[in-house]
Amino acid sequence: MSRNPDRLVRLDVDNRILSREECEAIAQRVFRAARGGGETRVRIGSWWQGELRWGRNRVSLASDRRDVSIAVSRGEPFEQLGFPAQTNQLDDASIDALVRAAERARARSAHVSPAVYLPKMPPLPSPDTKIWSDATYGLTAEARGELARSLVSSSEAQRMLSAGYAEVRAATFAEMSSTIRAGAPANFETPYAAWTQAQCSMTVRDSQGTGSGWAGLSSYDWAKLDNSSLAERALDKCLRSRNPVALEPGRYTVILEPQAVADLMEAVIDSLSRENAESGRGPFVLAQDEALGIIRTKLGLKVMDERISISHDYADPALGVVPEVGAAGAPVSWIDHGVLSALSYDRDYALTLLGAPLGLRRAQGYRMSGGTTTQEEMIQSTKRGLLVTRFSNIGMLDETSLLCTGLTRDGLWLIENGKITKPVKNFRFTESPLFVLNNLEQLGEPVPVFRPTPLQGGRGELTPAIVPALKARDFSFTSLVDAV
Amino acid sequence: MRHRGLQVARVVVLAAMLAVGAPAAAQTLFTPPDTVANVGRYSTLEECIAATDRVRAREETRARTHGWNDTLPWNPKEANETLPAPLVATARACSAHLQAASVPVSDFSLIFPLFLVANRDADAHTVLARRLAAAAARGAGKTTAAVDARAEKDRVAVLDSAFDMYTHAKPARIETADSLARAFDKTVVRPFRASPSAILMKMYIALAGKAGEIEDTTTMERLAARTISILDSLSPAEAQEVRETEIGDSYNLFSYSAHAARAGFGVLLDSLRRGTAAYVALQQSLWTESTGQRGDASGFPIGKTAPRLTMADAAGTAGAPTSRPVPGKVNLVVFLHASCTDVLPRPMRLHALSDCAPEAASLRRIAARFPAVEITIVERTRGYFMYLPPPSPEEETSLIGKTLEAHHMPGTPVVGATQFFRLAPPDHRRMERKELPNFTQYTFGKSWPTEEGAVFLIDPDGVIVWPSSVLERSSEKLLGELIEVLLARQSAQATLPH
Repeated sequence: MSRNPDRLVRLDVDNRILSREECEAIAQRVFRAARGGGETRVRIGSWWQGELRWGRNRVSLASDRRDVSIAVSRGEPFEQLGFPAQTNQLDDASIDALVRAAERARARSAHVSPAVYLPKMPPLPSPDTKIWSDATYGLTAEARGELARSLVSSSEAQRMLSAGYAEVRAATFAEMSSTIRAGAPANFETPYAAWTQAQCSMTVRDSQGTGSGWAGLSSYDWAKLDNSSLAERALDKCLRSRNPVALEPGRYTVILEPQAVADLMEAVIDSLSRENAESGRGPFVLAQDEALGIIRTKLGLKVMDERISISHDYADPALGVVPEVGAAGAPVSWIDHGVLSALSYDRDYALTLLGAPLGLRRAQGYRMSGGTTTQEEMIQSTKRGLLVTRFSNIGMLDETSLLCTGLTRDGLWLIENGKITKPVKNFRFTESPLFVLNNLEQLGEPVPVFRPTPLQGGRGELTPAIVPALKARDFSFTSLVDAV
Repeated sequence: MRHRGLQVARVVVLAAMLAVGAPAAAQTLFTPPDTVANVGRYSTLEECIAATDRVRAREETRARTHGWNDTLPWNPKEANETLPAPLVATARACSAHLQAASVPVSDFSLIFPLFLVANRDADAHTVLARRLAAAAARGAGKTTAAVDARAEKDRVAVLDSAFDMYTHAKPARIETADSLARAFDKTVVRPFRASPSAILMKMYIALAGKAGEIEDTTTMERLAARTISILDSLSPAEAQEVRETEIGDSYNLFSYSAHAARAGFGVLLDSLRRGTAAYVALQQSLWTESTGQRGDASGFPIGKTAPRLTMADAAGTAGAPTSRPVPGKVNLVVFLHASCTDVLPRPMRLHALSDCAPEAASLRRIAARFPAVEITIVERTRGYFMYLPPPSPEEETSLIGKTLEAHHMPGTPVVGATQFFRLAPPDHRRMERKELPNFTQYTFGKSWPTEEGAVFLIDPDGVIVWPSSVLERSSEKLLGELIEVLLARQSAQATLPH
């Protein structure tokens, strides 16, 4: 199919995502195409993604994908209609057809709701963060190919098998209203935002299938991923984890590497929601207040070891996330020295239950801090325990206590008298992260870990985490797992 | 030879041309496979019920998206509407193989309504008879009282269910349900026991309600008389037992409704024509007669003086009266129904505003028909309004007024300012103080929960004539007749020489 000459924006190699000016130009074209007055809203997104996947030391996928989406809503009430019409074609005929489709949808819904007085509001604040990296955006397919060669070579030299995945991504998003273009305030506008994200992870296994090592990192900036170090770590873990011995399941002192802590913390982070707690769900419910007919939460109470703090700050580029419109931009401390100091809530909650204008964003990015002990010091101070690289297949068993179950993976070692003595077969664990965080013995310096999100229609956003290693007692391993 | 060779070549070319054309002529057009479900092939009852449910849901969605009946004036014919033809056809097709004489009676609760949907009323009756016979057989040959009681309980439960399904079917099988109730009435062993009495009363009240929907006052009065005969036959101990059944607190209301229906609405209107005092006295005597309690113990605020609404923070319009309800006028004071007020100012739930539409439509019709009636909409601030930054009470009052206006809600809004307090930090939640004078004074000692919605018709002397929990289109006729009487009375008084 030939390209339409009317198409004003071309997404080619040098222009893979839409700039602010291009978004505004598209919005103006949409506004001009509208007929019959009334508000027009347009949501414009674009994304590009470069991928590289390899297995058994051979590349199996190298791709470059990109797309745009233009969604339009015509007339009020917007909340009922949403964006009923969408396209990824930018020529004039397609834009015109898009606006007509939105107008038809509005006409179809006219009987459902009467013309409603809809007050206008100023655009909501949106914290500005720098989560753009030219290194990420500039990583070409050729460079990714070279990367695969370098990552695979060390494993190949040792006659090991490596598999992995590297991805670079850039995306933009903007939501605009015709009324603001005319000088009046819009109901909702999301300012133009552009962001990048990068991830690289690899597993190295021996050909007999008796040892496995893993390493991975994610960041907005490709330059911050030390890929050669990743390859070395994965290979080293694989070599050291070969021919594991079986141990009896039971309660062990564990040293969890940062990635294992991040895997385990997922349930805690997800439950930092005020609405959940005040509906009686999750671990942060305190009790029913019969007099007021409400549920009290554990806000202000100690919920884990006092050395632990969990926070987020937009100003920290390492914790850069795509800002939530309508959420406050100030730094937030979720856990302050073991005390539950904040729970997230959206703007709807803020308006109705707090009388506040802005919500408190989700904890999609976080820093967990409080210790300075190195992993070596933790090992040296352990008489008998286990060193865990990471967990997988974690599932929630009980929402109230956060009891989870999952598997150790890609490297588990026995520590005896301050030294790593032998690799151990994988275990299934059944444990609550809150139990672990209350049985804390030592806490390390936080470091960035692997915490990417899947691509969701081009809008998969960053969820960075900076997490320390920790040592905790009485971690419950419930059964042996044969899988390596 | 050369010439012959040329001829052969021509034949070959011609044959080739024919060969190229031939497949096209032999082609048959692609026919898409018939993917329409043949429900007649469904072999199990569950498949048939699932199919009818699917068609029912589809037809309901279609009805919702092609019309908005709840804003139209009430039409008594709606009560006799039949089911959509595709639904009946589906039920008939998939239930064709189900024989009433042989289907398992254990599936009664599934098959009986299915037969009613399929308009197989005779088969439904057969299944009911078989199910009742099975219930009777359960106790047959057993002499213990416990077994007998269980069998009787089973029989009553089946009859109750069948009655319920007859009355809720579309169209409602009123005559069949009535004959079932009468048959049940005859089988109940005197003296009455609590449970059958309660069920019989429920049946008669339900039938009277159905008769009311189609404005059949004769049937209503007949059913009311039957209910009263049951009530009169109960000894005080039995009446107490009935009160302890699921009827519970509704016992007095049932009794009052029956007495009021037997007296007839016309009698009440006549008394109102004479004066509000006579009307109130009749209402109170009906209550006393039906319950044995004092006339003013009903909890209905009929005859009470309508409290004056606080106007300090009303969304004042130029020239609006300074006092509400307006003295000397017929007034309608409306506390919007919770389904409307819950969404009125709520952020991100604007789509649900259509819940206000039925009540707004009813009020519009009343306002258009009786322009002399003063309508007051009582609302309160909530400290938020949709997605706006938290507004001041004055701003919110203005926004509520504009939203009501956008719904073409007639009347004058009176908006009270809600007071709040905060929980101690770090919780910091904002809680409402339950001190809303306009709302609390119209609850009349908590007997009338205005927060959930209420409507009061008030005569020119400020006396409440008719209270209701919600203004529904089905109650518009009754309200209209009451207003007509009050306005006629007022105009008659105005023409009297001073």
